[in-house]
Amino acid sequence: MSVIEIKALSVDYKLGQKQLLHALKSVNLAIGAGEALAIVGESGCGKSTLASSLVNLLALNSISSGTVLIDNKNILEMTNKELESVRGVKAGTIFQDPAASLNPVFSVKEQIEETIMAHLKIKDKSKLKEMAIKLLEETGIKEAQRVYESYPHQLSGGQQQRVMIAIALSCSPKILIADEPTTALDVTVQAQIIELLKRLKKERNLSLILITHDLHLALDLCKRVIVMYAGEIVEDTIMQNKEASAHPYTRALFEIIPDINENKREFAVIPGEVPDLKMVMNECYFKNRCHKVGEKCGKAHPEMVNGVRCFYPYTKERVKS
Amino acid sequence: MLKVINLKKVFTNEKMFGKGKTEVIAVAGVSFEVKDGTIMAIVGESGSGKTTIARCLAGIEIPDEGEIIFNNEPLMFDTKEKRAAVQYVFQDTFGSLNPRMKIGDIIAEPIGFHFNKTGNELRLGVIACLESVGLKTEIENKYPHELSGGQRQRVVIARALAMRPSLLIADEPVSSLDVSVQAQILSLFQKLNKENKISIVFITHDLRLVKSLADDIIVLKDGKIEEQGSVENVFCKPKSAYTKLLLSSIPGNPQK
Repeated sequence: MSVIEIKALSVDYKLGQKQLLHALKSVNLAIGAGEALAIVGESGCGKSTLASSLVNLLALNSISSGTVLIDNKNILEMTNKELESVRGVKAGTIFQDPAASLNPVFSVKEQIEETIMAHLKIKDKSKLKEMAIKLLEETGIKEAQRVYESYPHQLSGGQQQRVMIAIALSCSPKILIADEPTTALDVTVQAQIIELLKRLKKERNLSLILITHDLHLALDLCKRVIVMYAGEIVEDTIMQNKEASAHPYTRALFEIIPDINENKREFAVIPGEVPDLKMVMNECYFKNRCHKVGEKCGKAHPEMVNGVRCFYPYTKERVKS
Repeated sequence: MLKVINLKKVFTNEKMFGKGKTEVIAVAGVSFEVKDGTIMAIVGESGSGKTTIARCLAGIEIPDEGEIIFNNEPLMFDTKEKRAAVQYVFQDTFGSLNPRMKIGDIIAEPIGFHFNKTGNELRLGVIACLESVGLKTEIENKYPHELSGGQRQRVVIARALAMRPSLLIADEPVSSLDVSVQAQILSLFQKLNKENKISIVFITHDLRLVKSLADDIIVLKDGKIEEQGSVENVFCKPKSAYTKLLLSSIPGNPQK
């Protein structure tokens, strides 16, 4: 039973009078209850557009088609009033920069309690406080009482992100969307936040959607990885390492992050850039950057076959379970 | 070539209405040496004093104590030649480039000033610089906002190279870039180090980049050196508990 079901979702952005930027091209995806899923790719591949369409937070100049079903209701056709019962309640969201997500003129107390009040209609002050402190403690904040009374600027980046997670979980959603949650944080804090997400996912049986450009980070947290390129899903696989992937782009993404256990003195590079999303081409979009390119690649657009969109995929090593 | 001896920098914040001062020790006695033609990585978390060291090397901050010796002389910026010898690349590419100038002019200005070139000679110099960092020459007529982040960082590097420096200080040069662009810029740094024999001080918080890039490494914590040595030694046999913590925080590292 899938919690989120995306069918033929396309999102275009209007640019000026006539131009359209095709940010998502007919994406199909189903996410099960309690499943951890990572969406990986370079900037401009449609990762964040996909995440925002899950809670219909798309920009005003966007045109979307297809369906996004959460509990069998189409999110894309809902009014703002109806969306209130989805955002925060069914799906909580955390973003990259916690300092920008928190309102600087309100204390943590007000920001957590506002969410609980709005969605769960609880008005009793002592009950609200009790819930807020419990949430802060659950996200691993040691001095919950002090943080509860603080303003965002009085907290460190890691604490701010924990507060964001507390707010996202305040109405006990079953889905948590994390859009690059650790990019703005230090390495050691990043490791702590990942551990926290792992624990919360287990304890609350969350469906977790992690958006990142770091494949190694994705594998630390998720088993299933969706790789996006130029607005399309190019690979959808359960993987633990590079050898379990099949698309040349996925392999390249693994290789560009230096492995500290290897003694190499050079950096692997994916040449070129992500193609212009304004064009629709009848060929493989990764063609010009791919080292496995063959004659079919320029003639037709590859379809998804066995979770891979490629004419010449690598053979996957079998996943050991 | 570059020797830093017991560098100290303290920032004092005056409280409002003269209610006393608070002192923040940003760098508390740091010594290290960068050998000719090598890459030195300075690694640490936010607030460890990495950027303050870079700013001291750049002459933007004046150290409170300690010495910086560059080519056997105290580091000074009193002549054109000395100013050209040390160049900088910072994290924020937008902040490093004047939004009202075309890329060609951004690179031409320092070449004209330092090497007294004009006209065609100057233009050839600009083109050579753009090509050395792998940019197309058409880019010279564009403005910074028209370029991608990776292209802008290449322009910043091209401008630094135009001075034919012997030392390049790079403060988090790839932190704001996409993973695939990061790899491209890092291999550019490596090429410059090998082919042009430029020594590089590379400041980062990402330990993964350091292993393949640098020769020596300093791990900083709270303004003090936690560990220093060759990259191989520090990565394979880390001594300090803090270095071990940093290494174990790397995503996908099986040493956990």
